[in-house]
This record gives sequence, structure tokens and C-alpha cells, in this order.
Amino acid sequence: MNTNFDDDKYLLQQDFNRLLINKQAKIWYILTLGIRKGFFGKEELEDAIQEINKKLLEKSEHFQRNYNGLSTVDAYLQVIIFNECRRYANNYHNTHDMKTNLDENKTAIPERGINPEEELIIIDEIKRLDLIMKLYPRQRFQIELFLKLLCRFPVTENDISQVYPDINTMFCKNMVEKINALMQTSDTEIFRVFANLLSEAGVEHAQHESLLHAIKEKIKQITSLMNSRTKTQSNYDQKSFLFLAEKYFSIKASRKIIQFMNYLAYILPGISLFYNF
Amino acid sequence: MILIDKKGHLNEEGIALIAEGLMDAEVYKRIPDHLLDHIDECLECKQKVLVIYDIIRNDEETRDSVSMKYAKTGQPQASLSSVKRWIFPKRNIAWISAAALVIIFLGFYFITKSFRQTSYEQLFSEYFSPYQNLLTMKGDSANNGSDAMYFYDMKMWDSANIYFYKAKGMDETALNFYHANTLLAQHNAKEAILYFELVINGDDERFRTQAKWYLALAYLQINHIEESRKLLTQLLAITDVYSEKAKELLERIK
Repeated sequence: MNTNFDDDKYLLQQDFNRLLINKQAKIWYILTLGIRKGFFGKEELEDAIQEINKKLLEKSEHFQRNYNGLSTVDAYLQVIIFNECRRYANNYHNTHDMKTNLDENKTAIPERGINPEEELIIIDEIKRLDLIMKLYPRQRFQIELFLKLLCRFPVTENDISQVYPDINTMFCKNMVEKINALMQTSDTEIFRVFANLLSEAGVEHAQHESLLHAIKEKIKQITSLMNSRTKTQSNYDQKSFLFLAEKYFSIKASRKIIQFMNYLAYILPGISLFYNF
Repeated sequence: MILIDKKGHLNEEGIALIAEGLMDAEVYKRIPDHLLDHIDECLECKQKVLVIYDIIRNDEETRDSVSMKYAKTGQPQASLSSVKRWIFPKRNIAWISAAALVIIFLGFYFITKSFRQTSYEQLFSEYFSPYQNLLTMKGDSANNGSDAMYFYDMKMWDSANIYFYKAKGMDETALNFYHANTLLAQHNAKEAILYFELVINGDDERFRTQAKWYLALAYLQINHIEESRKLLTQLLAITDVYSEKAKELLERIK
């Protein structure tokens, strides 16, 4: 199997046919994935492989021209193959899998008092959520702060200063105390207090309704991304998503402590052995 | 550099690059700003990236390609960390380093322990010689005691041991002393200690000093250095051949 990046790059520019031969296993894999996603039936696999190979050869010059060398050829080709697979499915079956319906009502899967098996699934889902948060490189801190408010998860000065760096430390501390004291109030009330504090700090004069609306829209987006995963067939609504988000923040907060404890669990017996013998 | 298509969305390479960025933090750092601006806003592209990520993350060849690519772009630190992450997943590094520390500690502990054991055993072998037979006289009638001493003289410890167990109603202190010697010669220090203590705590004083010396050696054999040292110190006060030996041995086990 060819694993050399330069070989792939060379083949892309000089010998596309050969590259295509090398990547037949990937074409087959992505098409079987398409079958699992319901793009087309199992019986069409051979036809689809043939059709996609034909299309890839036809468009080879376009692919060669558009490649800048930033990603690996391997990943680049897999995107191309997947796109062709979708086009094939759309042409023959009129499927539109990539459309996300944000208004769809979903029912909750995870609830409080879950069993250990479900706990494992949730950890997997938390990893997925972390991944999705990376796809919000500019808004991530703000989304996390607002989610913490909705989850009633204690906010820290760092959470606020990452989003609003202009707020001074003292005021930031004051904000944290006031917000964390509002854990029993409604969403509207907590966002009203938060918007007032922002206004007092002079960094943003937003209506609390608009802040609340903005985060709810983001939750819809994120849940739609979570729910589009075929592996777990997740089915989040806002309530169950906030439960997941709370777990996500708990794990993030305890990660450092857990890592430290891991070290201690190994190091302490070692040291005690060392001194005892 | 064209990474956006005609419709204003990420093109194939843009999608591939961000999906690779999700796999590898070093790649993520190199994603151009305009791509990050776009992905931050565009739900459709986010979804495409996630689909591609799901395809390529389990693909060993792609992971390998990512590592190889960054190993060849003149950034050795980044490529090295990518390769390391591939070999040791990030979350396991803490566990691996902790486990390595434990292994080092344990290794050090067992090596030094075995070294000390060997040196004490060497001392034991150097100083131990079974006490000479003072009991058997020519013409003694055959009984279990004399048979035991016969095999003792022949240094046939297993046979001697069997006869010592059978020998009863004879010179009990002497038999216990020689039996303990036999056991010590068989490297059965724990049982030998019981017999030596019987001799030391008994009324008969004939073998008391000798028994203390051999008891000290028995403790040395099982690495009970403190007990051994205590007995040797007691022997120092006795003007005897054993006090000289005890002084010499004490200096060597310091």
C-alpha cells in the first residue's frame, strides 16, 4: 500500500490513472459508507464504482489544477470521492443528505440517572461535541460561556475575559459572583442580569432576548450536527443537549485534576517503595 | 491560494485540510484564517468536514500521510509530535509516563534488593561451616541419633535431617544444635532458627555461644540484618573465638 505523501502528490500531477488504481480500496470503502447512509442500494455498488471512476478520470485535470498542496492528497481525494458519491446518489435517487433541518423537533435520548453503558455512549458524544466546538473557532468561547449560563454551570473569570477581554479584572470577578448567585433563576432572568452587567462594563449593549436567541440558534445548529451522525443515531433536543453540555463542562473542569491524580496514583507508591526498602 | 469554490463554500482541499486539522492539532494551527472565518459561520461546510473526518480518522494511510507530510515541511518539532501522537495517542501520554516511572522505581528497587540479597548470601556462605561433630564416638551402638550424626559427617543433609527428626530421648540439646546446623546447611534458615532458639533458651550451656553465632548466620541468610547484628553484638562481649568472627562480620554487614 502506498503511504508516501510525495508519491501521491507525484501521481496526482503525473499519473492520475495510477493514483486512481491505488485508491480503489478507498472508493469501495466510501461507497459502502454511502450504502450505509442510504444513498443507494447494495446491488448498485458495482455500477456506482464504475461511474465514479469514470467521473474522476474525466475531471482529473480539474482536480490537478485545484490542488494547492495544503492538505494531503489522500484526504483531498477522499473528499472528491465522497462528493462524487453524493452526486451519483443525487442523480439517480434524488437524495439530499447534506441538508440540515434546524426546525425538526427531536426527542431526548440521554437523561439523568443513566446506566454505565449509556455513560460510555455519552463520553463518545462529549468527544463529538468537543470536535464540533472546534468548528466554531471564532465563536467557541462565547458559545461555551452562554451554554454555561443555560446549564447553570458555574462560570469563571477566565470564561468571561476570553470573550470580553476589555472587561477589567475586578469587574470580571464581580460579574462571576453575581452570575453564579443566580443558579436558581430562569434563563431570561440570568441573561437579563448578564446583559445588564455587560452594559455596565461598557463592552456590549445587547438586549438579553437577542443574546438568548443567539445561543438558542447555535444550539439548534450544534444539535443538528450532532444528530447528523449516523454511527450513534443521536437525537438531541435542547433539553437533552444541555444535559450533554453540562457533562462536557464537568469533564473539562475535572480533566486537569484527573490527570494530576493519575500521576499521583502511580508516583506515590513508587516513591514509598523507594524509601521503604 | 484557492480554497473556496465558486459558491463561496470551502472546496475539496479546504474541507480535507480542516478535517485533517481535527485529527491533528499541528495541522489545525496551520489552517489559513479565511478558512477558519468561513467554517465558523457555515453550517453546510461544518457538516461536510464532519463527514470527511469520520471517513479519514480511521484510515491508517491518511494518518500516516498527515504525519509524513508534516515531517517534510521543515518543521521537525511539529512533525515529530505528530508522529509521536500517532504512536502514543495524546490521552495516553500521562499514563505511559506514569507507568514508565513506576517501572523505573520497581526496577531500581528489585535490582538493589537482589544485589543486597546476593551479598548477604555470599557472606553467609563465606562464614558458615557446619559445626564439627563432637558427639559420635567409635563403637557407639546404632540408633537414630548416631545415624543422623553419621550422615551429618558425610554432609548428606537430607538423610541426616530425616534421622534427626526420628531421634528422641537422647542428648536433646546436642541433637537440636546439630539438627539446626543441618537445616541451615540445607538453606532452611527459618526452621533452623527455631532449633537454635531452643538451644539458647535451654538449661544446657554447652552449645549456647555456638548457637548464637549460627543463629546470627541464620538471620543473615534470610536478610534479617537487625536481628543478626544484635546477636553478633552480644557475641562481642564474650571472649571466645566467636567474638573475633562476630567483630569481623559486623564490620562487613554495616
